[in-house]
Amino acid sequence: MASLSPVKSAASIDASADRTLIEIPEGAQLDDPIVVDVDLDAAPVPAAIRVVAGARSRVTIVERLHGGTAGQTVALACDVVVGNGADVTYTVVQTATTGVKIAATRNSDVGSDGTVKWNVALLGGAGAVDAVVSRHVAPGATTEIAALFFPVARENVQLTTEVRHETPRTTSQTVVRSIAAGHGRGRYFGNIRIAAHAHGSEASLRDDTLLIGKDAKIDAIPALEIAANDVKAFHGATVGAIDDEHIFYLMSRGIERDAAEKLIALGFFEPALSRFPGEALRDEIRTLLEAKLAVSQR
Amino acid sequence: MSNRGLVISGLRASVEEKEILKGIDLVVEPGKVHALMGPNGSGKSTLAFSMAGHPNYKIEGGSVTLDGTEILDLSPDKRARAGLFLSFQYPAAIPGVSVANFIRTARMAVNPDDLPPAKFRKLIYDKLDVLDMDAAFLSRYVNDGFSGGEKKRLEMLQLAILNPKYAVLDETDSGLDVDALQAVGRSIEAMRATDEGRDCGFLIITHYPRILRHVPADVVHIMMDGRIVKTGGPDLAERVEREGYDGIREEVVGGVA
Repeated sequence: MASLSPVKSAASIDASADRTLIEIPEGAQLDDPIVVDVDLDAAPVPAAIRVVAGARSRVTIVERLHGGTAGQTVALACDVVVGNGADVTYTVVQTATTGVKIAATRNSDVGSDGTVKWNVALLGGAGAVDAVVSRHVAPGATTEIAALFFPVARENVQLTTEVRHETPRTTSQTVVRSIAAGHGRGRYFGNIRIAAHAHGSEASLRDDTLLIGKDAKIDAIPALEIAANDVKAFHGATVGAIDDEHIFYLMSRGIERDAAEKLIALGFFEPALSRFPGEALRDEIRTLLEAKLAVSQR
Repeated sequence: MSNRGLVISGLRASVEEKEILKGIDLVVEPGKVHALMGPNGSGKSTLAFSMAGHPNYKIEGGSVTLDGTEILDLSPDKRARAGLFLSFQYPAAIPGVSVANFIRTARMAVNPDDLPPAKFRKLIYDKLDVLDMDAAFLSRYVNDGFSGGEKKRLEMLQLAILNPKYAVLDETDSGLDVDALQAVGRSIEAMRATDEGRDCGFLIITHYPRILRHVPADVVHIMMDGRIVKTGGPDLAERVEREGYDGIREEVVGGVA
């Protein structure tokens, strides 16, 4: 890529009232992540984020959604436009206060040979409904979605991911890992739609859930709609409890039961977490997950 | 001290309501190697799992003391902290948990006041070397996608790092090729040559005498149908190699145990 002058390579960020608009010029390659702070205690509460990545640009956005008061209801609309050949990584770390109800819709339209990587960690709130929908609007587009959620105590999380292959030769990978503990409840809708003219497309959807305790519950509802016959679509899902043989193996090495459960539970998130960008960010999320696990083990 | 030793006394155990161990008596002294051999189905693994406290194995009677402490009423983690190590024949794969994280957590559980990170790292690298293992192992997930040889090497790495007082090795040689078996033997002998490992008592459970060429046994026991039917020196292992278990079965079938 030709290097651009600092002015041309910088993103333009317009944050006014409850909206944030981030525009990345064509060809700009931004190495440092742009952090969007969504503070639910702010006035007005942020309601919309729009990212427009010009052709052949590259950017990483980290949205930190936090704060709020119990009983508060929040709606957030997030739109990402990925220009031709552009590469956008959009990471969400949601740590809203317990008792906040959040409904977030996140859409991406991916242009020709463009790539969007969604990484969504839903760790807070009491009622969170998050939908990530990615449309391939031109050939050669790629979507990767990695998500994790962990309702504990009486939390309730619903996540929807959907990839719409509407054009030929487009690819997607979705990896979701969730654990429910205590009276935590979750629901995951995993949708893949491959249209009739999306020839040569490939989609995979992998959804794995661990339930800790008899009151924890997660419903996983995958849906694959495939209208073309020269495509590859793969789906795999597991739901289960922590394997007693794994607990025994760790305990036989002197590790106490709670610590063994912790090792296994945190390890369970790794296939999704390993896709989040940056070791510091991953460590931060691991610490947040550990704290949630400690709550569930009390 | 008179109460040093891993003392198994009259141990009876069942699994799925079927009695497997019918009264096992065996003492492993500090620093000694005892081999326990026997045909398939004789109860060898049941003995190992019963000693480690696996929930599927029910103790019907008897006792197991480790340097004077009764361990049968302890949870598996407490038995490990008392100084017992069991090397599994089929170790569990724990995806998402790195070998490094696992070994560090296990070591801290049995050695709470321990080495600073740099010294611990050096210790691990030294032991990896003896076992012919690459440092890349440390970032792989425990036993996830490991070959049989890699799984057994990881068991031996844990043995070397956790410094138990008594190590029960359950069919450590099964499924190993020549190189892996040599690495396992080298690792055990290297451990026994250190100050911390010198006094470790070993109970090596095996079907074949192969491993005993790498780790010579002081005492050999033959187990059949849930009982120890014969005890002798290393020549007993050689006899099994020559005659198989049938010869010994004929000798003891008159009821002599």
